[in-house]
Amino acid sequence: MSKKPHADTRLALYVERRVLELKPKKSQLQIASEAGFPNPNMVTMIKNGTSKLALDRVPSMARALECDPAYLMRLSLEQAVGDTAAQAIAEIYGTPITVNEVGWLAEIRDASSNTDPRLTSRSRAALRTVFGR
Amino acid sequence: MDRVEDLTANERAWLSFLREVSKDADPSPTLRHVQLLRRICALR
Repeated sequence: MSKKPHADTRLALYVERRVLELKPKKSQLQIASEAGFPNPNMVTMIKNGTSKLALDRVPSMARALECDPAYLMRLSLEQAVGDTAAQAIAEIYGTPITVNEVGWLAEIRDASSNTDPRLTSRSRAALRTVFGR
Repeated sequence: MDRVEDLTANERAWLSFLREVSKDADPSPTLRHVQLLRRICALR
């Protein structure tokens, strides 16, 4: 069995990115400590996929990484149980929306004067351009 | 906490497309994005 079973999962890649973004502000050891990991190497292990992020650590890890807990939970759930099972859980318990997504929805409502606009092919094309896809 | 299930069908479509186009990177709406949304909505 692979020694890094969780390598390249979206969660591992995201944690790696946040650690890098927070580097000028706090060290990886600080992040591990803030997240409440007794093992200071835990963040490294999550980053390189040796270990997965336990679901009960998501709230403290989100605070330590200064990221959205709903987003981190989505990635952690996907890592813990896989895509299909994560979708089934979301179907039953609901899918939380991140703070950024709430921001997008507020802007859409504001820009459309609350007319609940349809997502047209023109809107899709414009957004694809902005995101370079 | 807000949930996808509380949104209108159109809002769900926007959100779903945003996740797809951003590769689910949870981007924040920047000034450029807001200006684009206003242009899109003004064209209706």
